Amino acid sequence: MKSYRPYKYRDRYKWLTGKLYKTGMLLFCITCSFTSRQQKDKASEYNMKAAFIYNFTKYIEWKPSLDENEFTIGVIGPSPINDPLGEIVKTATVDSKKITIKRFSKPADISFCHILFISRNSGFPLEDILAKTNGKGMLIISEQDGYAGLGTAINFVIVNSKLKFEANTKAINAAGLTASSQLLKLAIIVK
Amino acid sequence: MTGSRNSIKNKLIIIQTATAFIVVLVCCMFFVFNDIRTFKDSAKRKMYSLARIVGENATSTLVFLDQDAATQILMKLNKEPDIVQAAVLDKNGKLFARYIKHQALSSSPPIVDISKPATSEFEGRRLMVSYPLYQDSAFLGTVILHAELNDLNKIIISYINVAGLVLLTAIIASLIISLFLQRSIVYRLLRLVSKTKEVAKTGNYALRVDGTGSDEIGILADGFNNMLTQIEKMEKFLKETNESLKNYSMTLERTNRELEEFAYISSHDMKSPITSLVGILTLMQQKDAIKPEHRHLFDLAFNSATQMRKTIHALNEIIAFRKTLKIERQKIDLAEALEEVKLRIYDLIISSGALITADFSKCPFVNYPAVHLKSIFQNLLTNAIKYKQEGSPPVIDIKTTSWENFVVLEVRDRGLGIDMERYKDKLFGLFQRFHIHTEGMGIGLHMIHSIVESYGGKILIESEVNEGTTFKIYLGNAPL
Repeated sequence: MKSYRPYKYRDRYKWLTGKLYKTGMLLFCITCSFTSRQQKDKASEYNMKAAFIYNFTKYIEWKPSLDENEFTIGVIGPSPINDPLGEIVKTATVDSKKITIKRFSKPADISFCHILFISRNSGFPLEDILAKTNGKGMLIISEQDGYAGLGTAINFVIVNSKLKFEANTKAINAAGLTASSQLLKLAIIVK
Repeated sequence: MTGSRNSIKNKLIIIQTATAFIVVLVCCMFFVFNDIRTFKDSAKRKMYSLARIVGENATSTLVFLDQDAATQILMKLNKEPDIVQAAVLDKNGKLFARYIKHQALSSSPPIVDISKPATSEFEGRRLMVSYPLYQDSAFLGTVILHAELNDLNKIIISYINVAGLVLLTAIIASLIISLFLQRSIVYRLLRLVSKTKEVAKTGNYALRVDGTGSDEIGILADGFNNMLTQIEKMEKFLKETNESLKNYSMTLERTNRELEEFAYISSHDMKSPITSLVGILTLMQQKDAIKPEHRHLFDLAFNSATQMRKTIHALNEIIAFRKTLKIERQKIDLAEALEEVKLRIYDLIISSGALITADFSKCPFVNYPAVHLKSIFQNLLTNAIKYKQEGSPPVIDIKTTSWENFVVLEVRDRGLGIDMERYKDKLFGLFQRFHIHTEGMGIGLHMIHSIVESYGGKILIESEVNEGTTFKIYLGNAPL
């Protein structure tokens, strides 16, 4: 009996796999194209974010630090921002100081940096990070809805498919920094 | 009279008013242009600072690509009534944000050379200002403002009004000033002029211009017065001289008349004694009452007496002739008159064999007293025959021509002639004789001269010794 039907089954299986393969290929293609487009959007978004982060340095009054001869930007968690930020850092300076990038994998690793960018993919509770950075004169920048309300100084948001940012003046002041009115004028102020 | 009066007045007024007008006009134009330029400059500066302020505010919007915020900043310019359009361009020159006062107005985006530094340009009333934005020496974009200076027209109109008012004031002021000036210049000049006219009209040189001054008009008036004084002095002197001359001439006339009277009386009174003396001498001769040894002395006495009788007769003739001057003139046929005279001296003509030709074709008649004309003819003819060349008969040519108001009687002979150099001054004198060997009383030319002069004529004589003489008698030929 088994020998009676195997051919049939095998046939049927073949047809099914073929069908599945075709559908799979199609799906793959669609997914691929979708993700590539998404990736493209993501890339331009992070280009802008990197440029914004660099531009923030011009509108923030940094605490005078005598011994440091470089400006540090920290990134916690894996993020597509690393590449564009790396490009900017190659040529740009802040107050004629070179810029270096530090990457932290967990909150415990965090050491002093002028700007700390919390990646959407960091996955650590915000309180842990804030506890580590409190009152050290660090500008905390995040990219998740509501984070500004939770205590980060600046939070990137998308409004009408345009990149904007929220500013928590309390948090900025608590960090011992002063934001220029020109910056705050453009920000969505969060109390 | 009023024309000349008005002219100097008007001229001065026109000169003053025109000068004032031109000066004020030039000043007004200068101030208006200066103020318009100042206004434009200040408008430029204002627009430039506005562009700068907008630019400073828009820098962060360019950095964070916030077009809405940039537009909001530009919208604040609606408080500025002059600004019609404002725009922010990004570093590639693309429109980033924009404000337009009236949507209908120029919807085309402004085109600007982004490489240029800050500029501000006028196009009539329109002003365009562009201001480039930099951050840390990196070019970010450009702010552009378009303004329409509506106030400019208002300012120009108000300036024109003010300038017109100032011009009017200047003209009125200059008119008033010229009225005052007339008192000090024109009025005095006019007084001088009217005084001059009065002097010319009345001939009263005793008049003087009063109220002279030390300026040019004063000098002129002083000079005028001095001139009048001199003229007055001279006039007085002339009058006096005239008076004395008149007296002198009256005295002369009287003396002349007395002399004439005296001559007449003496010649007349001498006529009968000399006649009787000659008669007695003739009687004595006839009676042979003279001794032969006294014959010579008697002849001398007889000749002297005869000569004296001749002279006294001639004198009587002249005096009688003088009384005939100024008698009425009449139209005379010259040819007829000549024929009559020829008949009178027929013997003389025949005995001398004189050849007389007459040509009165050019002027056959003359208005003259017949007696005198004949007397002239007779004297000239007898003279010509008397003073002929020795050994040949006299040849006499007579003709008349017309010259102006005169009939010119020309009598030409080929006789002895007169030494003109020698006798020039004595030709017409009484008892003047120029030839010794011929007989003559020296009355003829004197009589002709007296006649011709008393009828307003003259005598010209051309003569060469031994060649002949030409008399040109200008007979005054006035109509009857």
